[in-house]
Amino acid sequence: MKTLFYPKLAWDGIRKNRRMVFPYMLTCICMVSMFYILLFLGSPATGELLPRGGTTAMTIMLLGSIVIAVFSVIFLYYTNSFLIRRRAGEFGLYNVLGMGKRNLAKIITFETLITSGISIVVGLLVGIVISKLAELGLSKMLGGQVSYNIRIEWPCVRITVMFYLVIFAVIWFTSIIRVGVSSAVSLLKSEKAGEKAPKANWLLGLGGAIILAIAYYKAVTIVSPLDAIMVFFVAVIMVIVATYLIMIAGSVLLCRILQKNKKYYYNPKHFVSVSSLVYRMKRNGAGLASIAIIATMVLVMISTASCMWFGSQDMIDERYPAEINFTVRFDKSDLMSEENIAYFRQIFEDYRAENKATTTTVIDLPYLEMSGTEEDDNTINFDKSDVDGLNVGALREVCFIPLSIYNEKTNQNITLDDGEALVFSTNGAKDYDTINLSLDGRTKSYKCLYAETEEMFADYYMGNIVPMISVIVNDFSDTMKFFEASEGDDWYNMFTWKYSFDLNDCSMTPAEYAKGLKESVSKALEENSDLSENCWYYYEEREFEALEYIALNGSVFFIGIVLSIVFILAAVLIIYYKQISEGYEDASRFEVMKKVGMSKKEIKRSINSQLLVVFFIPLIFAGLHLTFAFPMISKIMNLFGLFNTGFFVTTTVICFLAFAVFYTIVYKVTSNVYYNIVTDAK
Amino acid sequence: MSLLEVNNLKKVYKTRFGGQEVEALRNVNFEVEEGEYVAIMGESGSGKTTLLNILAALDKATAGRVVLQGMELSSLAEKKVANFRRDNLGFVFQEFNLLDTFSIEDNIFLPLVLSGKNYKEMSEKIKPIAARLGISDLLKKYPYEVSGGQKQRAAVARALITDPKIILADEPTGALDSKASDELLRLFGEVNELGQTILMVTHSAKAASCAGRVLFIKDGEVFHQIYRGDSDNQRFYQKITETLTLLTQGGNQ
Repeated sequence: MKTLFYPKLAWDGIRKNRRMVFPYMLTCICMVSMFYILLFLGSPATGELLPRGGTTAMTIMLLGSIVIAVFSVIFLYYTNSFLIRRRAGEFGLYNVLGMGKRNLAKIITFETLITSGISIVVGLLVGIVISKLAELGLSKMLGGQVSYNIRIEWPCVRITVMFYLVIFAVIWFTSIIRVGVSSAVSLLKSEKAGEKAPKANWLLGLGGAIILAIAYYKAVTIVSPLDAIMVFFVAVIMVIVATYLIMIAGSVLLCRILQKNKKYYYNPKHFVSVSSLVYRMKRNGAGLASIAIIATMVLVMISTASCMWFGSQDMIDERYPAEINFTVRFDKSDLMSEENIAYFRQIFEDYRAENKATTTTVIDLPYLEMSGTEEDDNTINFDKSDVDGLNVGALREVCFIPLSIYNEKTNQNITLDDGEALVFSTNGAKDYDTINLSLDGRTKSYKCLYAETEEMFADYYMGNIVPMISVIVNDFSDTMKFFEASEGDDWYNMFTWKYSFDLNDCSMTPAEYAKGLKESVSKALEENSDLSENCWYYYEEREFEALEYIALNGSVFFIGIVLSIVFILAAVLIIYYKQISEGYEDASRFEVMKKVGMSKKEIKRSINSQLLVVFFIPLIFAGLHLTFAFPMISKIMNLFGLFNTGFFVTTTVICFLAFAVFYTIVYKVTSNVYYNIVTDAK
Repeated sequence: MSLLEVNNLKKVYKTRFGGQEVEALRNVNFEVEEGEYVAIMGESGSGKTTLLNILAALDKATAGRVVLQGMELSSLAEKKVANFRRDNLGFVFQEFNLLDTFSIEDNIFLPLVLSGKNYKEMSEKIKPIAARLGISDLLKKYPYEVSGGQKQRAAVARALITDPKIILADEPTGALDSKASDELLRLFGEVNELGQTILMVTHSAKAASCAGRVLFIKDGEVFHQIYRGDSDNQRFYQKITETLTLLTQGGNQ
């Protein structure tokens, strides 16, 4: 009997506190299973089921499991310290009743054993069952094979068990320390420690608002996608800091200002709510800020991931305008002559005839691509010596295109004088009146004209994160000569001919056709040593490349959903604990109000308005953050080849609405728990 | 007509799952005249608090009537109870029951704000009361910053500010040291002298000896009552302790 004393006491402790411990265990179980599932999906055996791109998917899954791991540590630690704090009174009572610290430690040990044991075992079981479904889902999304037998990845099980054992050991250790260093009386009292009236801190409150304003400003004024990525991280950190400052200090400040306004404050509708809110916000500011951040994170993640997944086809079409995309690069400008291009065209023609195929040409375009740095006075400098110590933000990609091709493509008949060019700036490059392009001290200047049509250039800046300037010139071969790098630096030269086409009526698949085409090109070039030594060529076949995109976007979408579930669960738990702990604290307060003459209805109304404010502040902040993050997100989406802003807006709004509905449900459920506590604690 | 009439009041508690019934009040009858200072004494479990809760309309009687200035409490609609309580009754509790989220001033204002009074009117009203109770300097402080006696005086101010018909005090000296108790009882006497009706439930013979009349409750019934008459506090105190001894020895009336 005696040996079972402590386990029994521990089990009793868990049961008595089930309102708090069960949700904690549920979260543990969820984290364990998600961690296992991601490890499982990242394991080589799963990779084998996936088509091309399986490795990308696996890497993303493993990255996701690392995120969950880090999050588990922080979150479970936080939750547990909350639990221990709430239960300090109970431990204090045991202590007063004659239990030493050693005995308390024993109880805590058994409790930790029970909770961690259940969490790990159940979590793994759930994980193993769901991992099968997840595997099927992922495989279906990415178009892989389907296998229906249940598989258990023992190495993943081992890692999961070991990792969570370590976390629980750390949690156990901190609990012991926490209970160990406090005296019986302080344990008994810790729950009721008096609280000072929060002071309004102008510095922090205003600081938060200013930081947020700057971050928002940065986010909205961003032009280049490349900047977007860099600014994004800075802005994210600023927004996080600002959210915490505003929630903790700013909210108190606002309440204090409201209190100063006698007419507003001494109104039955506001009196109780405003004064209680000060305390609520002080106590929950950090929690609310965390919820707002988590909500924003989830929203950004899920809407980006959805945009990517549902926009995959756009992305692919954008990147690979035709089924087969052939690129030839010449090292010397004079090699990219009409004759040589015609020579290549002939090879393609012969191959086509040989295979009795018909094709539709989508792109047939010679161009020169150069990268340089933006300098003052509308100058872009192509000097290679500047590559060291490069200012990444000033990087520019310049693409020269013959006017004849442009006119032909766009069915226009534009003429240009000498020293004039049509210029298109995209990806955040600025618009020029005149542009000076310089290499090794030589400078060529153009007066810039602007035309309407831009679409035909999308496929060049696609996949390119650098601001891009297309310069359409009438003296293309002179321009090529002018910017030709000196001997020895020829590999910088990007004299490119791009030829993309769709394959019609052919017994061969595009992949087979493209492979055969490349072989016949290299065979033909064997007889043309001048060309074969000074040019290189490759092809991209859409269907094959698409698999990589699908794998990437699919697994990003997949992981986005998994991580969203975990983060939302965490947010729900924070909300739930907040409601519980407030319920206990408010119960006595409302009893007093009742005695002083507030009716049940008034009390309920006051509770409702406070809960509404406290609850929906994070949602409003999340919405605001998301709105201001939107320009950045859509810039970053541009990098992935997605340009359909309307589509982003729709996706983001749908994600936000779904989240808001879910959030409201959680609010309803948890505020019921709160009402129950407030009403039965009498 | 008396200010407060209590007739045949009965309260039966049922344990949660049916079964046992506990009779907290059996048959309580008494009246309080306007301007009276009445103390109710009795041992723990004698039904004092139940009685006070019913008088405060916080609880409903099983049978019997409570009439305050011609208005029967049990006839009040649920919605009006809170209003009634706010306008007619003032409360002073053993545990002060000040809200720690409000400053002392706001605590005192609470019932007025709930009745929709404006700030100017309230600040006019608080001045004389705070001055009389000696808490004028504490108004901007928070409950945890002041002593128990000061908190209780703030609570008295909160009870007085609505000009209630009757003040119900539940062991007002229970949580105070003797000096603060004396101070509070002196204030109660003063307030009563100005015409305020007070009904105080207490354990302490000393507190009761400040009242004009003491009712003794035992086993849910008013067992006995004594008037101060012409006796001073000292003499009245003696009378009370004698009655209490009689009460505990189980003597009959």
